[in-house]
Amino acid sequence: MSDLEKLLIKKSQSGDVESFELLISSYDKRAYNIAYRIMGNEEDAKDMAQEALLRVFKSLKDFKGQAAFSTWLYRIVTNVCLDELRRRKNEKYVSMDSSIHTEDGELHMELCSDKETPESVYERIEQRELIRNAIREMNEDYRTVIVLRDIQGFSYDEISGMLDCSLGTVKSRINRARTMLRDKLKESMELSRENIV
Amino acid sequence: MKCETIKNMMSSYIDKDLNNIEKAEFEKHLAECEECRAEYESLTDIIAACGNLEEIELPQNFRTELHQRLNEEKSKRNFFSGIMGSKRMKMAAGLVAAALVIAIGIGGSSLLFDNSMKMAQESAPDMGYGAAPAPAAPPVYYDSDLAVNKAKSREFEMAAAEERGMGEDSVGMQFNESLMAKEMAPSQGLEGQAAESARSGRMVIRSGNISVNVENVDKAAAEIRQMTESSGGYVENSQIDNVTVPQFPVYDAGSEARETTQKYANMTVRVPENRFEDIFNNIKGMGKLVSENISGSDITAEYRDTTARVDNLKIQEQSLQQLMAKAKTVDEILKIESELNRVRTDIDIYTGNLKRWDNLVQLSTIYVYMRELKPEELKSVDVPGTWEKAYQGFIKAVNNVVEGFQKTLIVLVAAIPYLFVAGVIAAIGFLAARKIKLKKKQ
Repeated sequence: MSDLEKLLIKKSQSGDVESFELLISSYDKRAYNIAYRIMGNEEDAKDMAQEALLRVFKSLKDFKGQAAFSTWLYRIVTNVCLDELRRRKNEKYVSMDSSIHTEDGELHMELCSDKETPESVYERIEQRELIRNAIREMNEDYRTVIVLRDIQGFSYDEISGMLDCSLGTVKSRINRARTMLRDKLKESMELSRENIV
Repeated sequence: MKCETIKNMMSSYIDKDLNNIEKAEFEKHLAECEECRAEYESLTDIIAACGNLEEIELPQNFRTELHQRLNEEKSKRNFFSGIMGSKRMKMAAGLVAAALVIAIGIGGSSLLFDNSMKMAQESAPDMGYGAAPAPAAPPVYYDSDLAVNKAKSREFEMAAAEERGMGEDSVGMQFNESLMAKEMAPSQGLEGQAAESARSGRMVIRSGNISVNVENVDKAAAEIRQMTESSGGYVENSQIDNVTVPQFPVYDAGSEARETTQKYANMTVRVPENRFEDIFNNIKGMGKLVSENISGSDITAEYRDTTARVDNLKIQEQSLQQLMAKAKTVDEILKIESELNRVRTDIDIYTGNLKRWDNLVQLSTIYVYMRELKPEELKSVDVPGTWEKAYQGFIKAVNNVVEGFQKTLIVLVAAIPYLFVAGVIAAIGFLAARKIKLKKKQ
């Protein structure tokens, strides 16, 4: 941790908002991106990232520097997101782009994008979009490790610190998550191929 | 090795988390088993694709919204800690009030010495003119003088100056703000930190004015220069004028006007703060003192503010540099560049101020004004002025009146027993006389 960061943490602990903003200015984008990948949409990502950063500010006085500040911050971000997802599950939350089963069959809800053009329909089929959807459909615990490891590129150690679980758990969970992701992709790729043909 | 085991190792292999033996085995199996190879390749593809997922930008209002929420949170917190804060404030206010009461008490009691101080000044003028060391006024007068000034001006700086021991001379103090703005010569290489810690953190700019009449201006100027330079200071300005003045003899109006030359010297010297008293007193002792004045200006608060400002600006500079590393477009770079420029200019200005202050505090300034007088002229100046005489006369008269009343009162009171005895005798005499009269009538 740099001296500047230590100083900023100290100042933020005493309630200095400006110092805190400077402190998180190098992390908030990544925090937002983590939230975005876990939550799956920008709206939720913004809410969760802000909620998490606010929580960081509130509980900064409990931060003793046992881990890197960034790890601690991202841990709060993932926790806030996962808590929200679990809460929603209990409330039978209907996602904007989830499928709803009706008598006529499957109704797919999706938000319209302004950029949606006939050409971009084909682009959507490209791997990137497929991966995005596949990640979105994963169980949140596996999704989180994929987000942290393969999208954000954190090390095993960092992830174990963020998720508060052992290195072994992290390793097996990553392995499992990757296999799951691949299986899901295989599935959707076959589906899209059928659609095109 | 079974395919199942290999599949479990895949992630670890990709993340380079396998030891050499495992790694070798894994690679060996992959070369042999097509299915596992395909799976490995699909996995690495996916992971690469994950890494390629675009990073999305923060929503535009993300930071402003967060800022609002943070401030709300802070004010909530302040509301609770406010009670604590106000308690602290009350304590501080109490302490300040107590300090004030004590200060006023000391000032008030020393007002009683005001008169004795004036007497001292009256008796002071018999100072030697050529003598080298300054005859210091008795400490009691100095004390009262300083305290009176304190009571009058109530300047905080006073207390600070007093703490540091203003010296044994009786000096009036006043505060000269304009001095700070004055441009000063560069530092003589004295360490600011050392000077500052020596003064227990107080930053006071000191300067003194002396006006003396001396026997030989050149000699005195040379002495001052030598004294200053040996102390580690320097002469900032030195000017000697030889003015020709026509002189008209008072008693012989008809005679021709004679010319006399008069020498004046104006000097500004900078001396190390800790030698200020010595040198000031030495200069004072060079001749007959006309006037003197020492001023101190406390810049501690401003100095600290500026230091904090510089620190903050440096933090800002650093974060801007970090930002610069992340800048992508030319427009961004230009914007950051201009902001960086502004911050750096500010840092330069403020550090310049700090350096100037360091210099001003380390080196006190003494302004010397000298006038050359003949020895006999120096002596004759000692006669008190008309007003001084009138004042003394008035005081004397008042004292006499008061004394007269006092004496009358004392005599009257002292006479009471005699009057009483005399009265009794008189009464007895009166009664006896009346009885005799009555007897005669009968």
